[in-house]
Amino acid sequence: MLIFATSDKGGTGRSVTGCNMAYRRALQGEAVAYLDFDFGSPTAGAIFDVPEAERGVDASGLHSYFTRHTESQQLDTALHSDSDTLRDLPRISGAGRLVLLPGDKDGGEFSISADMPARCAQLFLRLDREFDLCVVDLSAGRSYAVDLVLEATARPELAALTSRWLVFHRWTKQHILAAHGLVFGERGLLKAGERRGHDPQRLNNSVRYVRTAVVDLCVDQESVTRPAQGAWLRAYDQKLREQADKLRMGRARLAGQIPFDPMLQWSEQVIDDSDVSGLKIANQATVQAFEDLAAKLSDERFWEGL
Amino acid sequence: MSPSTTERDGGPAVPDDGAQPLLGFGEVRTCLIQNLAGLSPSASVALMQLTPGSPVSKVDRPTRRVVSPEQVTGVDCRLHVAREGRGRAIGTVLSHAVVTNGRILQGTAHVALTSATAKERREWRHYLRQPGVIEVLGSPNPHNVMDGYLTDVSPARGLDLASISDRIIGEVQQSNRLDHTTALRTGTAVVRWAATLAPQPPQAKPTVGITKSDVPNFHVIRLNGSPEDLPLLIRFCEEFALHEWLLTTVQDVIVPRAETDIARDRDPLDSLLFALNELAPLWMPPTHLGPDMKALWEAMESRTHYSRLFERQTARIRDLRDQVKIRPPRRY
Repeated sequence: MLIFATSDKGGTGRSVTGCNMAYRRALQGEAVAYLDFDFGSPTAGAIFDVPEAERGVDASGLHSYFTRHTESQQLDTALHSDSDTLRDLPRISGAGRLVLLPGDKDGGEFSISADMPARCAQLFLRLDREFDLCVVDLSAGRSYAVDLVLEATARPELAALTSRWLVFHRWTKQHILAAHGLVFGERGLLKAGERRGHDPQRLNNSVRYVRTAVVDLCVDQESVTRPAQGAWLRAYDQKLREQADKLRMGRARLAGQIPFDPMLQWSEQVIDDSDVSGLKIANQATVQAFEDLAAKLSDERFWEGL
Repeated sequence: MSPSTTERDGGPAVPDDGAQPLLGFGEVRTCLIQNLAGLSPSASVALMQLTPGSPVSKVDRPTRRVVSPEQVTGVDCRLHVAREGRGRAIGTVLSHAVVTNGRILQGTAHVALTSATAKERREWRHYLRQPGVIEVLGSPNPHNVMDGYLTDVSPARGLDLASISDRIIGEVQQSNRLDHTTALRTGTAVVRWAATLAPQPPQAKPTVGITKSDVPNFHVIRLNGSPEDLPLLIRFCEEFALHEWLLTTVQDVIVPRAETDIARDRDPLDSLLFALNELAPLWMPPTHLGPDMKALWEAMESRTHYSRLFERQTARIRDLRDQVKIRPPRRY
């Protein structure tokens, strides 16, 4: 299965959520590949705490795979990460592998040449032979990377693969509008996909939304101290829900809701239960939200046509 | 054009002006064909028809083996030389694909290295006359060239046979003759090999040494033989790669996954039966291919005991299958 993670604006927590989602799937026993398609500023290496890929690798990253036709490196996070959580993954009975395909340090965006979509399809096919799940982290906004994967997934050799899209946005009026524009706008995913041979209806059916950094009134009791503040937040939350419903981004299409977690605001990393129960630096609700999102990826009833 | 078949394995050409090859290099990649069902004999032949009009070679017994025509890739690059010395490699690399029993796909790139016949690069016409031969400009020590090739983890710097064998796998897997459904999730195994080629006394047999590298699914083979042995050595490496892939897949993928499935009350039967029905019958050491191949294989077996390990793994799979029959998992 291919999961494309995208967002309209930067700073939505797309990468940190994507990485944690990938980690949860690996924990459940799947072989997972995480592809850093944010060619301009690769970040997944930093989130997985892989020193040699912190801002992308020196050579043979995904950028060079497309522009210089080299092989792409596969870094097993259990071997290359400094994070105890990831290094311990193979010691958990029945857990799968979590492998990073990093970007290049001096990458940058590139325009798509004629052979790139076929090369992209070849990469996805190859990874599907080896991995149960591939998470493709696209950069924020409408990038060449988005066009590239839309063109690749429209090719007949990828027809047998399941492709799904997650659009990440923060829980504000502007972010909801921006995410809506990214999917439904004139230059949005659906129009761009249609031009490349996708059925817009089917493509739209493969898109779900993830709300990030949502203030959870049950968890954040300390930061919400005055009754008036709580009442306003509840009322505004309701308004945002109505807006999302109207824009066809409501509950039925909600793949996950990630609560605001102070720890992740400062340190984008993979967290596990020991950060919650042992060190007590992350919230249980956050780990649970990652777990729920991971479970949703393969919940067929959730992805049925609407 | 209808595919034609012959019973002949094509070997690399010998340089036309008498220069004997000094070294043989190659790389073999092995993976599962991305198709839900195994391919029929005629589908395998059609898939291997990479060059219309050129013969596809097909052997039916003991396992069905279909080999594509050789593809020619021109190269002109610096050699990655270990320790000291420099060299430039100009010539052509041969590559072909192999389908075994309609299930397993191998991509092989190989080349014979000789000393250059001139002090400068000659016309391409010259190099094209000797497909599969690379001339080395400069005079690096062959041992350093060999070590440089075998130990270079990112071969993009030197003679990149990895990309050539990867490309042929990618092309075949992208073919519209396949349904692109993954029958079993497994990795691609890489075998990189190098052979020292020197005229041997009449009774001498080729020899082999195998090392497993730190990189997962990556093996390095060193061989010795006479220049005429090169086709045999290429075949040996392909057979080793196939058997090594079978053992790794059964031991490191199927058995652990089935054990986890049973522990987590999930049904492991699909992959167990796949191993028994599709993979186990492919274990067929190539000792029937003549005394030299037999000697090479037995030398390898005497140290790795692969056949015994594989037997033990298939026995384990039968045990697991029987366990599941007696006490089916709850989520059955």
